[in-house]
Amino acid sequence: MESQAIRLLIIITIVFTVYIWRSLKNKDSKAEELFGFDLRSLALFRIVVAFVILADLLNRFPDLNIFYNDTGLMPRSLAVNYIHIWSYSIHFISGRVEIQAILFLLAAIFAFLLLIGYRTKLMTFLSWFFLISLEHRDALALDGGDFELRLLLFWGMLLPLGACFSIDSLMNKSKEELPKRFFSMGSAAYCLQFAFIYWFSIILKLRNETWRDGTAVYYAITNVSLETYFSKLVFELPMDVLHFMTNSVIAFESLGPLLFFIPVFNGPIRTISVIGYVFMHICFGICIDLEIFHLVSSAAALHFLPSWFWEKIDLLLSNFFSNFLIKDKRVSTINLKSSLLSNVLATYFLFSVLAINLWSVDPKKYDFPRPFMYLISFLSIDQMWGMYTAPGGWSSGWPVSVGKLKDGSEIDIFRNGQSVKWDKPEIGSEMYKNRNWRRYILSVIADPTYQPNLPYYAGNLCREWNNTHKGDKELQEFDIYFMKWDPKPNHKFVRPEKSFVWKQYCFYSQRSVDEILNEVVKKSEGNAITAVIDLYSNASLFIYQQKYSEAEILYKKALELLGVEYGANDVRLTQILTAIEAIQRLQGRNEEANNTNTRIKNLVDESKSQEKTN
Amino acid sequence: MENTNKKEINALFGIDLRSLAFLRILLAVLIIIDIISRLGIVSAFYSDDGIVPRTQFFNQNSNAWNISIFAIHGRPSIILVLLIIEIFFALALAFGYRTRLVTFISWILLTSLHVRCSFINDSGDYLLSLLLFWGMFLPLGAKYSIDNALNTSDKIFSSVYFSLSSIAIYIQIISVYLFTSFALKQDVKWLGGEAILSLATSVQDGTPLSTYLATHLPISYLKLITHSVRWLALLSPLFLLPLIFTSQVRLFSIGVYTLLNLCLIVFFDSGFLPWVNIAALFILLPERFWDSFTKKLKTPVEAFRETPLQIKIYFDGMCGFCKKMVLIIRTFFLIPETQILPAQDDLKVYEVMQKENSWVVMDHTGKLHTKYTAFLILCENSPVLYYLLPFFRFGPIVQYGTMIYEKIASNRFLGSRIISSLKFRKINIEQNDCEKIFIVIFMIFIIFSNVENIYGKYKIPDNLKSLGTLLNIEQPWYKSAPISTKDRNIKWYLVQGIFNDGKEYNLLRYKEKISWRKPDFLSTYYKNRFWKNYFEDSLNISLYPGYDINAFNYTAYACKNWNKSEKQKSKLEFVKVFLVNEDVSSEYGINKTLKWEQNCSAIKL
Repeated sequence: MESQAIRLLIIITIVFTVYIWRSLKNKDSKAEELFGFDLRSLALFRIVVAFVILADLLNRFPDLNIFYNDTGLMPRSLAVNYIHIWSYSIHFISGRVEIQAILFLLAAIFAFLLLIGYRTKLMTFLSWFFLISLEHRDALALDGGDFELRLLLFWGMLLPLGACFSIDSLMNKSKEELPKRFFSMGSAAYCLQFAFIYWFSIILKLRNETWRDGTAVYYAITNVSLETYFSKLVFELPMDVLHFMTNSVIAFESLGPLLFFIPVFNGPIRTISVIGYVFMHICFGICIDLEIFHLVSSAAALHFLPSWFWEKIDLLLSNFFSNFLIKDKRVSTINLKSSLLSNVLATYFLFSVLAINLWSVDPKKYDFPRPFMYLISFLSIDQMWGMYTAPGGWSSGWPVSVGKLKDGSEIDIFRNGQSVKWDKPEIGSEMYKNRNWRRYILSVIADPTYQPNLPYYAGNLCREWNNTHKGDKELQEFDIYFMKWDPKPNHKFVRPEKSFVWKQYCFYSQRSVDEILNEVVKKSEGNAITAVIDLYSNASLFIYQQKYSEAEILYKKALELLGVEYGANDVRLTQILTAIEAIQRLQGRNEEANNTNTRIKNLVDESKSQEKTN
Repeated sequence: MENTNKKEINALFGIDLRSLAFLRILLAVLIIIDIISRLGIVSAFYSDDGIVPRTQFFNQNSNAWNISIFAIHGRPSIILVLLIIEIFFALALAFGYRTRLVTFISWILLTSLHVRCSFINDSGDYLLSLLLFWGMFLPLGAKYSIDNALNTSDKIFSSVYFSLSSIAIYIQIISVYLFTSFALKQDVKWLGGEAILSLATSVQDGTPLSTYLATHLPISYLKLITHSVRWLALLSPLFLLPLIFTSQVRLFSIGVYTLLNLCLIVFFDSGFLPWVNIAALFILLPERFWDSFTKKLKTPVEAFRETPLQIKIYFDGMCGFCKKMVLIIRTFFLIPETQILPAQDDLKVYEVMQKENSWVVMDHTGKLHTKYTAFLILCENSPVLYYLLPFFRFGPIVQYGTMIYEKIASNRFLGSRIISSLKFRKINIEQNDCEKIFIVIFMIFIIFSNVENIYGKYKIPDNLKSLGTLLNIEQPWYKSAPISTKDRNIKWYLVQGIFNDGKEYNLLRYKEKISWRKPDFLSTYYKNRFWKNYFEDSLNISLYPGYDINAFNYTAYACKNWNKSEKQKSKLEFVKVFLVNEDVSSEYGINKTLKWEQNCSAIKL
């Protein structure tokens, strides 16, 4: 079923491309109506998307000092390891916060010029360039909204976004009247890109049982970290309603894109479908805290607003804009003819998009040549529409910290120093300052690839707390726990699973290695993981003090404990080994370091081969 | 009285606009040569595959004020593309297209390149970027440039440019000599007169030529040379800014200092600095020189002619592209007196133009020429292209030329689309107050930075220092130039590579057996100046005792670089980096210390 659907998609893409090229040649008016975009719709889209970019910048700006400079939590030397080798970012040019602020300002200026439509094509390019630069700089995991926003700007470079409601159109000196619609390979490719988002999402979703048995919506809204006030209301709904909602999402996502291309009554049907799409995404946005995803996806549908719609409200707008006409200073010309080059490029990009989507479905079967895939990464048109394909996910849960103050009281730093509570927070998504913080905290606590940064984050928490709290309120140490909460079917109540993630000491300890070893083993009461984390934390304190030999002893003890309990297959094992290797290199013990390195390599190979067999 | 004073100051600190144009072209040529010489080291020094991967670069530059555009990507191919873009901007600089903007971009790209891997640069690189920096405040594009050809401003500016920035660039050029001479004063060998001998025979800086000369010339000659070099450097302000006979003394000192730098190039392994120094000297060319030079610069045809130049160029007045082309041709053929008229003004000419569908050139006899022959007439009158005439008149070339002309004429609209980015603009050479303030700040900075480098006790305040880092206008003059005779204990690196077929090579001299003998000259021992600078500078730094991240990175690069091509049958297994010292007291005359040892199997490919 799945492979047939994929085959069908490939055939559709090829037939569609041929059809568009032929109708471009023959000037087919039907194709133009179906796969061309009204200039006013494009202008509306431009305005909305520029607002989204500005809002996103504003949202990120307060954390300039945290995520975008070298003294924060994500220094450049770290970020560069988390992005694809072909990705780039203009923010890497400097690590100073002042220069980063200038770059933010530039991005905001470009977005504003995009909003008012001044030199629109150039501004679209610059906004796109700065957006992907920003996303690569903080190097946090991308969600669907990020992917879609950069794609919208990317395809926008091939469309005349500035032909209406813009400074460009006011300064247009050519006397020829602009056509109503723009039709090219670029516009047609965008149609298919829009459909791919939903179709490939459906293919990925239907692999999972929850989507087939209709419980997917139930699971999706129970992800604690994305929870909103409304998601709790939806959660209360009877199971049958949730089944119905799941099935209607599947139906709308698979058939919805086709609504735009119905040859009869195209105007009214399109208008209703666009409204339907916007409505659906706003509902999603209300029920799940999807960050910018619902805004972006709504904007994506605006392209399809038909000329019919604009004719209905045209009178209103033309009166408004005619007041602003600049009569004498018309200097630029708007050229609406799509060049051969842009059509060829659009075709190439369309097939690149198809390829990367096929790859996301089955990386082994659709393994395209390396340079081709590198170019996709370089252009940042890589995409992966597998949201909500699995129930819960690693991020479903909430962090709890137990901090010990000097006066002996216990507090939770994640909840602004209130007393420690283990129950689920009222509304899960409100624990975090903004989406960047949520992504960072969750990945640093629960995602193995980001976990090595936990000591920095925790150390930073100590410093921040102790900067504002002195005397008795000084923070001595704290533990971080993650309360994982996977929902069970049919509203059954389950207890969250508590796991100990990290222990942080805020001050260097005066204790010797032997004292620490004794104490840790005694405190852990036979629980190896607790002991290992405690040892690891103590070792990193020694590292900060440059007492490498002491740290190594603790690391080795931790290694011993881990080996007994868990065997080879644990992420922490490679982490500890890497630390040991660094110490050995630092002390010039190359032979030993090389041995440790070989051990790490073996471990990685082993876990890779295990993944393959799974 | 005031007026004459002003005139004198003008003559002293002013720069002829034609000298600036010449400097512009020389800078562009130097940039292009520099970048082409760096193309071979892109993957070694500028990419993530190389010796300084970006994680390392970011760690070293953590929170620094440096800016480097080359840090945005880590693949060699993208860096290569950036370098090619840099070459294009240098070409635009050479032709003087939007000169100020292009100078700014060239400067940013060049400093970015220097920042991305700083330990392979020498002081010449820094001087080049400094000259570009000051060039942003100077009217480099006022003469012999596209900007000049398409200038619409009717202001007539004097040919000598005097402002704060012209003073600044003089200070900059002189400080290279002057502050070096201050450094020499602290050196016993320079004071005693043995410096040239010591440098010429040293492994680091000498060449076969210098060793030969130093061992055959009498000692007293060498002492004389040593002292005269030191005094030349010390007296540079007097020679380069002479208060009396300004023009004559300047012409003389251009000769002398060019000779000095040429000697550095010929006799010593002295890197890039003397080349840039020579280029910088040409801004001293006085107005009088250019005036007499342009007068003399006449083609033989003209010299025999009694009446002055009378050729006229007619173009299609309806075609903006044609006008621009003709204006550019007039500028770059160096025929500024030629009149340029729209053909529509003269009915007779217009008829010819209509008939031939071509531009029209009227020579001094009043005869009309069209198409390729019109081009030949212009060449005949151009002082530069006259010497190429036999080539242009060669039969097949005439055919091709005519063909190319017709191609251009028939594709006028395409041409005008390409040329449309060349717009008519106004040249403005006046500085506003804001600029003046900045120039004064920068000027003070370079003086203080020089003083700080010589006399360590005077320190620049930290926030001013960060400005210097941001703009890359620090003044490191004696890095890798053959100046200092201190720290002359001879040392070099030897990289022992052990292959899986049991063979051993020195990776720096592949296909040669390992020899622990002292190399004759380091200039020929290492591959090029970048590698020499790399081994002399970076490997000496170690961050922690016993752990040398630079040495590790180097060996890792060596492993990757040798083993990545699958064609090579023998694989590199071990790399050992030795620092070798000359030690007369020891058994073999050398003393080797193992700096780093790397097992290649531990390196991911």
